[in-house]
Amino acid sequence: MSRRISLRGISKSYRAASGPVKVLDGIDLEVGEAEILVLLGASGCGKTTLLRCLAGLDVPDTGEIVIGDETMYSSSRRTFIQPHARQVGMVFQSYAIWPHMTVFQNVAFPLRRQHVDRQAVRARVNESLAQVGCLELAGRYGRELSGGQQQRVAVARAIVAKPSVLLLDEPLSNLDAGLRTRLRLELSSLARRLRLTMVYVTHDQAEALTIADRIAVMEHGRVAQVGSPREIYRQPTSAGVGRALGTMNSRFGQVLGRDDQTLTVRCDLGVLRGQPGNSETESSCAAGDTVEICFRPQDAQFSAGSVHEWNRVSGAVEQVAFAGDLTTYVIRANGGAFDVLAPGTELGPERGVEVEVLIPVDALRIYRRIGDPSDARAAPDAGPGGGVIPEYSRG
Amino acid sequence: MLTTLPQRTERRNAVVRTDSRGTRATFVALLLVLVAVIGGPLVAVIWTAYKPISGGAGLSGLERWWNVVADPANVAAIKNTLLLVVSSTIIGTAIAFGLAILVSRTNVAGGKWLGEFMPIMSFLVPPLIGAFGWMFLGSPQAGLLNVLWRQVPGVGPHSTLLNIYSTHGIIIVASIYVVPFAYLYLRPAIMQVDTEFEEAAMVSGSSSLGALVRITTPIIRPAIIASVVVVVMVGLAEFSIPLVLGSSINFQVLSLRIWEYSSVFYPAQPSAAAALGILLLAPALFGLYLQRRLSRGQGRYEVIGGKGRTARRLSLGWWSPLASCAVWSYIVLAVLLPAAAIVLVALERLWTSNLGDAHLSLANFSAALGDPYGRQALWDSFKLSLIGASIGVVLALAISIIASRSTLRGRAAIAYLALVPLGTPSIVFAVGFLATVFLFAGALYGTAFLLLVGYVVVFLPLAMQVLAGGLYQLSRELGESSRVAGASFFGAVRFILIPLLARFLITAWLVLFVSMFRELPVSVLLAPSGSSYTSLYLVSQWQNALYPTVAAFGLVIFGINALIMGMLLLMQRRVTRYANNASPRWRARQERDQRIPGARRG
Repeated sequence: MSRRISLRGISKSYRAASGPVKVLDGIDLEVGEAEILVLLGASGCGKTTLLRCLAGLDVPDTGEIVIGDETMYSSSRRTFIQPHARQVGMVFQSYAIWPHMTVFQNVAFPLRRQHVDRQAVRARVNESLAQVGCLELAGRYGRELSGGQQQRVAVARAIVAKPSVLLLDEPLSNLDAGLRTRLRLELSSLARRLRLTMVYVTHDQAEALTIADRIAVMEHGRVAQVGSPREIYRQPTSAGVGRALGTMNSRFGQVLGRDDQTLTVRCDLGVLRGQPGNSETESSCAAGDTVEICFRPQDAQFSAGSVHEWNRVSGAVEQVAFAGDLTTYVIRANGGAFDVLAPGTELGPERGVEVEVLIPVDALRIYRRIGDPSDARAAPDAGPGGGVIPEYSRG
Repeated sequence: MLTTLPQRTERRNAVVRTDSRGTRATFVALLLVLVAVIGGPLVAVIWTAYKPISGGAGLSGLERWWNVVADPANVAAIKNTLLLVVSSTIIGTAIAFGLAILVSRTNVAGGKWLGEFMPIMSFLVPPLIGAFGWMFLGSPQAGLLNVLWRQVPGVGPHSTLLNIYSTHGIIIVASIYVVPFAYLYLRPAIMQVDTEFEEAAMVSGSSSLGALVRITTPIIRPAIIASVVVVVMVGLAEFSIPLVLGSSINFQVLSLRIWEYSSVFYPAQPSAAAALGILLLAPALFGLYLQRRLSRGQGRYEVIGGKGRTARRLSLGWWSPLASCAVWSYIVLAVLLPAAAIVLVALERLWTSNLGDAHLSLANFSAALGDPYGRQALWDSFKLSLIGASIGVVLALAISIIASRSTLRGRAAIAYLALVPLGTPSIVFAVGFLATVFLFAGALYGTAFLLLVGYVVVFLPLAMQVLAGGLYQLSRELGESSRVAGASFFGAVRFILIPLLARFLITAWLVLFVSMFRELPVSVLLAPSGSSYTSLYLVSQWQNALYPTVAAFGLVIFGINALIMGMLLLMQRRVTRYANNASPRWRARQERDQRIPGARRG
């Protein structure tokens, strides 16, 4: 039986030399029964701290954490349930396989703490190890395992006591790329098979998109947007969220005018039309406002395909970076530069050639710039890729 | 009084108690014990120095304090202490730095072996026995060096090569004594500097020696400062060396004066002893503070470098033979020679200036062990060290785990408090214990129990430091994962932390046992009258000029220490077996993974 999780008004700050630092700033989140929620964000956004608060390893300053129908933490009611009484499973970033115990002893540990009798322990440990395909490793010590094996054993240990909630802290970040892709699929199928409510922390957008039922993108201790992977990827409500899920071309510009659905803006690429990216922009954006204009490199194309409405931008191909399955073109147009991503199989334009790039109007998202200093960091620098912020570019 | 504390905590915390009742109770108990045995004596020292006394001639506390300090004999002791501290710090740190860098960074002959051996050296040669060794070597008449010197043709019969009973003799021995302490801080820092820094300098046109001077040295500057602080504190507390080598030329230092005021002069003058104690206390506590501050920012363990370090040794080229020569002559002169002198004297019937008619025999050993007082001293020291080391390790474990793994407010304070004796010369603590006992618990005066408490308090920081190293290496996630897996705080300690710390617990126990077994400054003040412990027995034999017995008994102590050390090292190997049955490849991989910096939190 799985449990739901609800977090209400979770805040936490650390005392640093320069004054208090807010790591978590009023987080409200609900995780449904047997749902996989991914917390996605850059390092330092508070996602790991939030997960540790769920496990009871960190303590929020204010707020309320309810798992199932039990209040695990409440600042107003002064409740705190110790980690060992929360009955959750957790997989740590380092896996934390105890080196002085065999794999069997590691996995048996949670059952021993519950005083399960020996025969049942044996049966359940074997069952759990079989579920992750590590039955033959039972007699080995933690240090004799490869990274992938450690990860599986850590999962076996986390699920052996049949917790209804499984917490994972960047469980795949220490593995190499191929293994990561395989274990990602194994983890999500295991979670669905066991009907676990899962909270999964990662900074890897591909991991987040493949594994999640819903994604919560975190920025500066706040939840910036929650939604299905498709929704967040296609309709990010801020430029930052968009960047968290993949590369973005990003320019600053001014609003020239608007009609029902779209805004017309001017930037160094020319005059473009696009969609307001969030309700605030939609309701209050007027001519003359400063806006950030974003579109994904793979939405821009060299030739018109279907019935879209297009922005047409003329420019010269400045760089061609062939990377096998994909090719990145850097296009210099008017005063600025931007990226176009095309399948590597297509024979695209050569370097130096003048091209016309088509950007669908509904793929170009426009965000009103508010006087928020934290947003100023998003200012696109004049690197070769124009507005691409390289931070999230790894895959 | 117990009820007010949690309330205060709660008001400031304004939220939720997150530690179990048991953890909180343990914390409060530890705090009370530490305040009593560490805070108490320090306060008592200050109180004793300033409190009004009968017959004080109407002088205020400060005036009486000044009278003590301005006493000509004490002024001389202050000057000597300063001289000894400054010169031994400069010489000792310089030697240690040279040794550490040559041994761990260059292709000096036998460097690898020396690197491991050097830190143990301070344990193999306690200062008292070291001082005796130098006495046998450098005494102007019968010192072996001088006897050999006179054999050289053309050297007069009364000429001396080295007079160890002199200011510079004492400085030489004190400098050699502090070398391992400085080395202990410098070597890990040097080892952690990525060799790629030096390689980058060499690619940029620097010589290998130039790279060491211009790149490595500035990088480890925090460690150099930390080692200087430690060596200064060791020098301030120096007792055995000036006692053995300085008595005949009346070379007094503060610690010796404190001892005289407390237990040599009759009647004892505890307030004068306390007054001088304050002089030692102030700079030492400041040094401790300085050291904590330094090690906070630039962690002693922090890996300096981009990727994990690659252990590559620089080739010194031309300089290589010269460097090897320098390192090995230091080892021979500073370590092997005094040891050889002790062995030789122990085997001789009499320590005389005639080397020719030496009758080597084991008679001195049977004399030393045949003496019932000697045997009693060994047995009593053994018992006391056994109990003391065990109590000390348990306390240190409790303190360091609560300080590093609980969420209690004030948890850092108990670790800080427990480290205070590190900065306090142990004889000052002994004075404090005497003062406390006089004030509050007269019945404890002159009991072995008081001596036991003294040993535990004085050496507690050593165990704490050993365990801190172990806890630092243990990823927090190892303990945390057991909490999530259903273990209580004590469960995590019992099933995860203690087994994983076993190696460090054994090391800590060993360090405490060996230190207590040969302790002098605390024993000299707190030991029950009429009792004898190893160091006290050695000193009394030396005062009676029974030199061959001193040498033989010193070797016996050394032998017992070495035996216990060997046994424990074997045990350590058994305990860490689980780590060794991994294949070398996995171990290498594991080590590499652990070295990836900054990969811990999202």
